[in-house]
Amino acid sequence: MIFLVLAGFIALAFAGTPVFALMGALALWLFNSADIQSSAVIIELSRLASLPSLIAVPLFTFAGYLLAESKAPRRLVALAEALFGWLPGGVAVAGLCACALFTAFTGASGVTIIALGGLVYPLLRGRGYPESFSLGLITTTGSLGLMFPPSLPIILYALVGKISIDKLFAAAAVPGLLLLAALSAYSFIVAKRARVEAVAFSWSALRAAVRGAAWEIPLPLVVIGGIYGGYFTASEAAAIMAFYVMIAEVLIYKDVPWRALPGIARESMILVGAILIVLGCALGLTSYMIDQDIPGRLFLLLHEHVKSPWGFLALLNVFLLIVNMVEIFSAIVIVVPIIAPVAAQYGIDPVHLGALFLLNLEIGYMTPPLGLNLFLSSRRFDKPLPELYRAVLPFWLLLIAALMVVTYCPSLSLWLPRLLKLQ
Amino acid sequence: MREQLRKAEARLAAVEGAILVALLAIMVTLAFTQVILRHFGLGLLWGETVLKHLVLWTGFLGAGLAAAQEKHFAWEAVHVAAPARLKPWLRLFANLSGAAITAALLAASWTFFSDDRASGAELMRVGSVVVKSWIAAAGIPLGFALVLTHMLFKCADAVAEASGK
Repeated sequence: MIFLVLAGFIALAFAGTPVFALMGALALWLFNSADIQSSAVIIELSRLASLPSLIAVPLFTFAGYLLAESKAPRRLVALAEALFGWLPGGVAVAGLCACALFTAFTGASGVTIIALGGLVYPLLRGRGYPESFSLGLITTTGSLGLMFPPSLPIILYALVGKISIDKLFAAAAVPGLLLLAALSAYSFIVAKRARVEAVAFSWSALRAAVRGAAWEIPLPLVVIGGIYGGYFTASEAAAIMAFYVMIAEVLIYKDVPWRALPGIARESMILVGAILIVLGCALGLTSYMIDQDIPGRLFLLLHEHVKSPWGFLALLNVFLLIVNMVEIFSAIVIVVPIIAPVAAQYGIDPVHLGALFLLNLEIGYMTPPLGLNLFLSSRRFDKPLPELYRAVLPFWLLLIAALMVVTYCPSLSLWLPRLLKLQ
Repeated sequence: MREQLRKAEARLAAVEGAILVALLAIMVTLAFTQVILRHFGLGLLWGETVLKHLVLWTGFLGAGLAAAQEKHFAWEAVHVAAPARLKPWLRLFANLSGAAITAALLAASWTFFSDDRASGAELMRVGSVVVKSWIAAAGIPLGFALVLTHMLFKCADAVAEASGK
């Protein structure tokens, strides 16, 4: 019977039935099998309103959509080029930093490749970087910012995994910086090999870029500095960012006309709605799983074959890379409630697990054959997928090496939260 | 036929969109005001509760519009790879199965809402005004009803598409 039902669910999933409906149906069926009223699923769902910091999700999403619709990407690339363009491999580093910052502030990686790809790709090619490297760099960095605050996947993971958002922001940042450093070093090597000439540093170009982005430069300082400095919480940072971005892009830069604002607000809330309904339906499912001690049983089953935490983490990395290739928001909501208690029984710090999960998420985005970034780049640059698979391979290997380092050096993700004394 | 259905759905979506934008505007203003007030050691006692439930309402209205634009998260690999003549039928199946399950969720949420209303539980007080908890809870059945309505519209649209009308 159970196998029949599961086969039915898999068939529905492949036929394109929405994830929230699949999870809702599973929750209703499981509650019904346990003789619990169906309204209990909705009682669990209504707990959405009591999740701490949930307000950060719509506010950051709205601000991110607004930034993506403005000319901020153009100003950001100009500023990064003026700052880093003179270094060996500097234009690539500028592209990396611009993409990382933009992804962090807009949450979803798709926006970065669409909005910044068209600016960074011709810039790299114009400076003499090889085509394959340029494509690989943009496809990879389209998700690099997921590791930095105020990225939406970090917030969602913290909500689902029941850990502090501020703590996870701090935990993910160091592995994110490690990736940034590794990719910058690789860019430097490629620039040397391809004999890319560094651009002369220009104070006037830097002044013009700073003047251009004068209203956007304080944003990361206020949001990231405010959270890490303990001046305000993630929810308050979201409120400040939403208000500030609206003033800057609509009233000061006038990039977004007033009449376009309702459309942007509506589109951003559609994404929020799609996330929250999956999250709500998952709450019912999670409650059932905890009630039936499914993570505990899974741990016993796994522990028979995998005794050490390191072995478990290796297995987990492979599993997450496959799962995260498919769909990130659903992956967080479905997988985290199952793996977090299992990992805890192996003695793995939940914050370290969060940083690892996010890193896997990021790599999953550009992992062939199904990573979302590959499809977006293919569409944006009109390149066949096999060409992109080849282009991202060196980057993928680099990120996998970084994943190994982060997996087996928990202190990398744990030292900053400890330093900042985040609870 | 298809055009008329689309127009009818667009009217409903426009109303939902307008409410959604208004709720977001209130949310941004209230959240920012709370931050400013906190800076001066002040704050609206009911502010946090209102914000939390506004997120729920906004989320469910957004979910309704996500159904209208067929933007709910789903595994679409089969849809992408399917031959053109099969696509409308796959679309019909995805929306029909989604609608059937949403109807069950709507029934469950209606029971939840009715129980909450019967209990007469209080959510908060703003001055002398008592706000009942069922007002906040109403967003859930309303959201599922909107998702269901849009999915049924999409089913009709997929049938019309498949039959070339």
